[in-house]
Amino acid sequence: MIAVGLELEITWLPVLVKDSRNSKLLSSKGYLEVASGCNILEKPTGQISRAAGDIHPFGNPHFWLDPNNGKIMAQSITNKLSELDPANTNFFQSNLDNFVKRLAEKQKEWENLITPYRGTKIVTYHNSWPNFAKYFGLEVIGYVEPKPGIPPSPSHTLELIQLMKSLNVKIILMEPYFDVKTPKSIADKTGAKVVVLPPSVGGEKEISDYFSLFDYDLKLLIQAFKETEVKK
Amino acid sequence: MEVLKFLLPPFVASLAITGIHVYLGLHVVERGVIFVDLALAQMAALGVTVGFLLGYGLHTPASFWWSLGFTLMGAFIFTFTRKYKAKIPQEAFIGIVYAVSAAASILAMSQAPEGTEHLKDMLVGNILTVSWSEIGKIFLIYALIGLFHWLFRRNFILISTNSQQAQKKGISLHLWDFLFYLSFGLVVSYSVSIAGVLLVFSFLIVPSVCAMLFSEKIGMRLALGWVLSTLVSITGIALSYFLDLPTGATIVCTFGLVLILCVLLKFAYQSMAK
Repeated sequence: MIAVGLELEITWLPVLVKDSRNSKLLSSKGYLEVASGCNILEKPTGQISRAAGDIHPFGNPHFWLDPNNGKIMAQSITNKLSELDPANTNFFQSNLDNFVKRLAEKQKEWENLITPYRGTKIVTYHNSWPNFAKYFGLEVIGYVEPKPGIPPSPSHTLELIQLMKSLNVKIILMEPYFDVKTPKSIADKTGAKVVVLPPSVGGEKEISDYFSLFDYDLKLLIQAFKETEVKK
Repeated sequence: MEVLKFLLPPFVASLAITGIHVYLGLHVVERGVIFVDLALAQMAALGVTVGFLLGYGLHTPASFWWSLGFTLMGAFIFTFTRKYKAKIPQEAFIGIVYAVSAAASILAMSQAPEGTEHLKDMLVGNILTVSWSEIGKIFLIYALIGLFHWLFRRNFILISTNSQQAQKKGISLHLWDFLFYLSFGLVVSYSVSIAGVLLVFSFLIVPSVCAMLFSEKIGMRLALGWVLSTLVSITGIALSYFLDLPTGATIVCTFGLVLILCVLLKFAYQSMAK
């Protein structure tokens, strides 16, 4: 069982694993959280409470949107597989080498694509894109819904609109599974564009693996940058 | 000024919703079918869900026809479950329609990848983000339905308040019940898509209940309900702005407080009269 970790799956995965009555999954040997070893952002400090909405006490769990973490995750998976099946260690290792090599090539390609737009200011729906933004050099200046699951208040929405106008922010980034209504209405008031990016593999038919995830998202994002003619 | 410009659309939308819902609320409370709006809204939502599964995206014209079709079905069901001297209260059928259509939505959504989020959006809504074009649309539809009810006000009021007398006069209960639930369902499916189920329910029921505490006459009740609902909209929106709270939920809670105030006022008034 490979899980993301950092409590992203807390509401359903532990129950599922327990009810599966599969002792191989219940032992830590057959269970891997790929978060370990990754570069995790926003580990909270100080008091944590429900008042902040649906937050993640171990840090932002959307770490796989940083390709550097992809490499670490691949390493963890290889280690786990080799531990469970030592006879095939060489096979796993060569797969990892291939993946890392391809990832390095792809990273160069992605970095070239995004270079002209580094430093662009954007808004995201939730705080679920910090790793993506950090890696690709985008500056997130605010969120449509700062407390996940709680509709934004008028004063927050108004502040966001004013901030977007004064900083000339033209892009609102969101996942496909949120309702587009609120971001769309903010976009209409600021002349911005809502860009819907799948955050995971499988989010669109073309996104069949980790590489095509970034290919797809970057393509849409850069297209939106061009359309809105953002200046840094 | 920026603030007022920003808060004006939700306020105007609340006014439009107030106009028709306070009136329909009087009918609903008089008929004792309090949760019929939840049931019809849920049927409408089920229609949207089924349409969504068949490939018609949310907020598209096709999706609207799906919701209308299901609302029609709901209106039909409620027309024929109103037994005038029955042992089973109609509230039972309303509850059943609500539960089954809600469950059916969950079943339908379990087939879609982003199910839960859409279900949530249908229930909560965000009145803050209503656009002028949406307001124009609901205004037109509410006005047409309001006009229809005004023209046939005698029939509509009589079947709600005194169905036996209506029957004696030769008014077809089935026909007028169906027309009532259909127009009601239409209104509710529009308002729910803008304001969400909770807020629509409050606009419908609370002003009528408050007004009924103080008056027996339908005209007076309507006037009281309108004034109250308008005041609550202003207060709720202002509170949500100044206290930095979600707007819809703040308006609903303001309605709750106002009802408590009204009950206290009525109580004080009665004990003074003694």
